[in-house]
Amino acid sequence: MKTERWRRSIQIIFFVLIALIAVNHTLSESGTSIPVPFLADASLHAVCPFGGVVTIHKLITEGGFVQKIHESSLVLGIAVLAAAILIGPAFCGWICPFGTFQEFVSKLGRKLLGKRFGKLIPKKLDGVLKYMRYAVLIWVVVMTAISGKLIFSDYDPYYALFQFWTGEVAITGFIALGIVLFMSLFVERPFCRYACPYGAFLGLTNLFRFMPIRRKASTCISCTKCDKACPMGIEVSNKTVIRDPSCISCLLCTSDAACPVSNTVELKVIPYKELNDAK
Amino acid sequence: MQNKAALVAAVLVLSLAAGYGVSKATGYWKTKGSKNPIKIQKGEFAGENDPGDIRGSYSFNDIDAAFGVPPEMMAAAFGLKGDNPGELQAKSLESTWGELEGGVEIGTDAVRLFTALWTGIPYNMEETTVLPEAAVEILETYRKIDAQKAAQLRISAVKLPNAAAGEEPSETSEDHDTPDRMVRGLTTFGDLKGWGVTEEMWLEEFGKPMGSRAAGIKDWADETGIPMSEIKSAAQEMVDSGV
Repeated sequence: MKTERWRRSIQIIFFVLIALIAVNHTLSESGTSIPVPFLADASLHAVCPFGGVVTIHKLITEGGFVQKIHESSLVLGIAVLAAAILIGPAFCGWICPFGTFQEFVSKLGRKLLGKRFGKLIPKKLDGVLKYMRYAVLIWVVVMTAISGKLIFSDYDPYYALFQFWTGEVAITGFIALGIVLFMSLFVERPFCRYACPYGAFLGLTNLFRFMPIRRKASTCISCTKCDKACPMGIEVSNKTVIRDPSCISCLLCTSDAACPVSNTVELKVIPYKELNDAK
Repeated sequence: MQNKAALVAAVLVLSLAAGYGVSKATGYWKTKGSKNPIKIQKGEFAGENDPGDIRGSYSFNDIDAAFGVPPEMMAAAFGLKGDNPGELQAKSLESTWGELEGGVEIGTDAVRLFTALWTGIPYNMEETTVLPEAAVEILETYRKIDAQKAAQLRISAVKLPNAAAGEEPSETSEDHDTPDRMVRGLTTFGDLKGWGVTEEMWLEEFGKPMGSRAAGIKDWADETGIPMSEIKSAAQEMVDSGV
């Protein structure tokens, strides 16, 4: 099975699962839930690993969880972090339903704009905007610690997408969703690139992950197909090891996908010595 | 593994499955709150349950278990009725009352505030949170909050829209009291006033003033020593005469 088929399959499975959980939680509140294996009538918050990040302060200082966050969020947060330390933020590229949603919308954008797709934001500006998600991450973690509440849910387009029918979504959440929806027609994964606090957090694992994506310069033909394939706008072709915090381990740049030369762009454990040389 | 996509898929699925499996096996996996609020860590109230940790998913029974606020009292304070007030959730207030005129809110935070005032445990409420008038009356009647605090609460207290008109909240439309105007032990003075019974009628009949809107006539009977059967039949006559 090719890389993209693997990834699409996993993405669709998790998208459907999360949608099912969201609907089922609504049904459970009216006493008519359907049994979802393993998850019963869990809320969307209960299965979001980012909850494990924002609740850390309260967990350490008070031994409790931020409102609406439960033990399941912490468990999933740890599991996703463990995977990220090994293979990078593959959660973003393979599982996150909101990433999948943006990709679906971007497919439409590609059809509408053709070659102009992805060229709306100049490279320099893109490079600066990429740091914005760290500001969002710091704001979310600090404000959640201060308030003890999930303050981001009022601005979270992911929450708005999967809870739009509940009446619990703030107008700011719908505005954020509208902006992301619109931007996805012009640029790949705009929320992941510029605003996602969880992506920012997981992206840090790119700096030290055990299995980074590497490009073998000796066999590279500099066709830049890897650059064009990257949904996060990383220039893979001028790096030997991808340590960019934006990488989401989607593998679209690798020799199993875009790269036409075998064993040239790969997800691979790099021996310590070689890693240092590469740096 | 030749295909790295399969490797990534395997790592992701296995890490999530392992996290779920281990936490489930050890009993740590929970997708719902325990309904046990966290305890206050420092100060005079250290060790007490924190009203600020009451979640929207807490039922009035959960709040009763953690803070000793009777569900009937909580329901009366917030203008909710039903056969099982203990099963009502704090967040049901948001859908029933939500944001009122002037941007004030009757929601979960009002429940936290009421609980804090009931227990005497301090709580910093949100700026837009207020209590219904009935809640203030209950606190004055049953918890003897000091006059200054009561006065402060009264200034911001709101009359709930349906309660003010003598109607039931939408959530309790199935309640039996409203449609048939049948006087029962749980009937409140608010109900009676809504059904046309006036202070004068009451005073003339019993020689004592009516209780607060939130107070039940059964409690009033216990306080005054007037037999409940006598109050019930006389009150029913007043209600019927006003139809």
